[in-house]
Amino acid sequence: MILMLALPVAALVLLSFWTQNGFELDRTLTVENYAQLVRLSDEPTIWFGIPFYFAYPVPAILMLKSLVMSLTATIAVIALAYPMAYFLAFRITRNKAMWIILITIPFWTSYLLRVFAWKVVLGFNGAINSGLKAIGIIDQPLEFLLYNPGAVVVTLAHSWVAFAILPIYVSLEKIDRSLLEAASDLGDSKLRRFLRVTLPLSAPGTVAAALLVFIPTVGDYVTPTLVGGPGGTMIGNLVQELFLKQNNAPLGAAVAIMMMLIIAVVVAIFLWAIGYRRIRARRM
Amino acid sequence: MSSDRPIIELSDIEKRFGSLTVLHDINFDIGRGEFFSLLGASGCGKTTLLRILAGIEQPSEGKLLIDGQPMAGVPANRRPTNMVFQSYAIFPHLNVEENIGYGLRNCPIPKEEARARVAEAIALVKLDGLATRNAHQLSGGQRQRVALARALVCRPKVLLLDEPLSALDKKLREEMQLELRALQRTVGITFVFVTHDQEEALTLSDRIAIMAGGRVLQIDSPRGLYERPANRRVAEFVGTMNLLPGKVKNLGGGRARLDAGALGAFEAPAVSGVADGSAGFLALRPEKLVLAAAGGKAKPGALTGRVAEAAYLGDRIHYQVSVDALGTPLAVSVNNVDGSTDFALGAPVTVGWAEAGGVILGD
Repeated sequence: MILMLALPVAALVLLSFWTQNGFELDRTLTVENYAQLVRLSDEPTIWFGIPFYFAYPVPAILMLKSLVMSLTATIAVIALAYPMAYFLAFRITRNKAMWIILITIPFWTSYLLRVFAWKVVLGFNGAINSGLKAIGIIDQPLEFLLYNPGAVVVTLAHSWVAFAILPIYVSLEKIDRSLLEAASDLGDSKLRRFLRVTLPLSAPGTVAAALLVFIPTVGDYVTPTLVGGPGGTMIGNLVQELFLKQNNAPLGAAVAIMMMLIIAVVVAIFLWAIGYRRIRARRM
Repeated sequence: MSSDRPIIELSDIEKRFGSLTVLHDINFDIGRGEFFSLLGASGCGKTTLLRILAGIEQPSEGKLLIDGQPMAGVPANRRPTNMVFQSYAIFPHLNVEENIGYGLRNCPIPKEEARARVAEAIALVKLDGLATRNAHQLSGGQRQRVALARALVCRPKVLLLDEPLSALDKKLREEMQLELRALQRTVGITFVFVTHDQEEALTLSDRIAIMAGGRVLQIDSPRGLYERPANRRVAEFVGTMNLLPGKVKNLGGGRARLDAGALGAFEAPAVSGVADGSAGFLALRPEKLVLAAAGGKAKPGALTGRVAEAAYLGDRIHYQVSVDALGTPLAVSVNNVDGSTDFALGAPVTVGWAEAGGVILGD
């Protein structure tokens, strides 16, 4: 089990220390690939007003962009999943299993098919455009719907909602109802009770859901390939490109390893910040 | 508001869940500063009634006044009541101090005063030194104290307690009973206490309402309930009671005669509301009965039987005496003083009682 998990990663690490020499793989160990990623230059590449002082800025820019897009998608997922999980946990009293199955029905189809479905919805002659045209709100199809980062975020959010609902639902369902009654009894309005009891007690499930969505979406390349267009590419696309099209697998491996490390650091900072907040709240 | 007005007034309260009626015709008042218990078996509606007082449940019919104010449409967070839940409902993400101070955040008082009141409450329930302890590090008894302090710190007009001692072991429970009673005298707040443990209710309460099947059977002081139960159900619920069935003849002046067929006829004080000519019972507590060896000078009205069972408890001896004309054996409890009350199994005995020791009541 550990072997199955460690072997591919070890292979990737090893690969990242080799170099590609034309069609040959140079097997001498070197940090050249990593050096290439962090080599600085005096002339910055400006992206959205942010200067990148890198000689090879594409990976850094795509990394930041991927993190921002994933984060947006994660926030959208939590915003969608939390109310649904709340409804499921507190408003549904009968046939809960049926409701859970109903919510997960769209996710019985393949991930690829769902992404294609969004292409159909957002496309030039897609559902939204033809619908708006039919009721006479627009004359020309809206072109900004598909092939941009927004489309990627929407599609990612939809794809991952079901995975986020379940952990949040479980943490809400576990809350002892007498705690809510006690909060009301002690003078809390419904909103205050939610903020002071329900939200903190469902935080573990919500954090788990956020990580569950954030970590895989940073490296996703299927969705940006299909609905992203040129502006919607993410770091996963670069890795794929380096491995398959540019025939530079060692550099691709180095980018992938860097991505893993950066995600690990971001997640660690995030968890530390939450833990820190909780400790501070306790001291007050 | 006049201070002699009852703090809680319940009139014609009824509660239905769907087609099931769990409370019928609830009418009583609770006085200021009273320790009032709702006593009944599980499912009798006592917890539902408490939750109606708290505002967690709404009555289907009827009127509830707290401190003279109608409570219809007033949600739990705006009522002058606080509750100690059966599960204690300690917030797991907060420590002792934060749990106790929870309700004060909803009161318009300055922070320093809130702090002072939390500290005072911690001292009151003897949790000194545990202020920053986390909820999951507390024992059952400590959790109970936190729940109590958290409810008292808001200075409610009425404190509602839902079987707060049922989760504690016997020794701790008895200790907490005494503390609870002392606490109630200290703070002077009206306590409404729900329990299924009759001993607990008798020990703690000023008055007790006996409930069964969603109705109040009798409201009286512990002594009143024990000595003069209103009917057979109350008599059977509170303590052990021997019941001799028969036909009642009302003699007037609070007395009646029970014609118990083959057993004879007995005169005794009667509880009010026993109808002339109806079926009734002569109720006798086991400790009011006197045993003597048969053949001696039996008192008039005494019953003769045989010892069917004896249980030696040290300070007392419990006997079961089977009497021919009576279906169930009589329970007799005698003090173990000098051996004159030792009887072998099967020994013929007479069972007597002082005339004022029995009471005649209806079904």
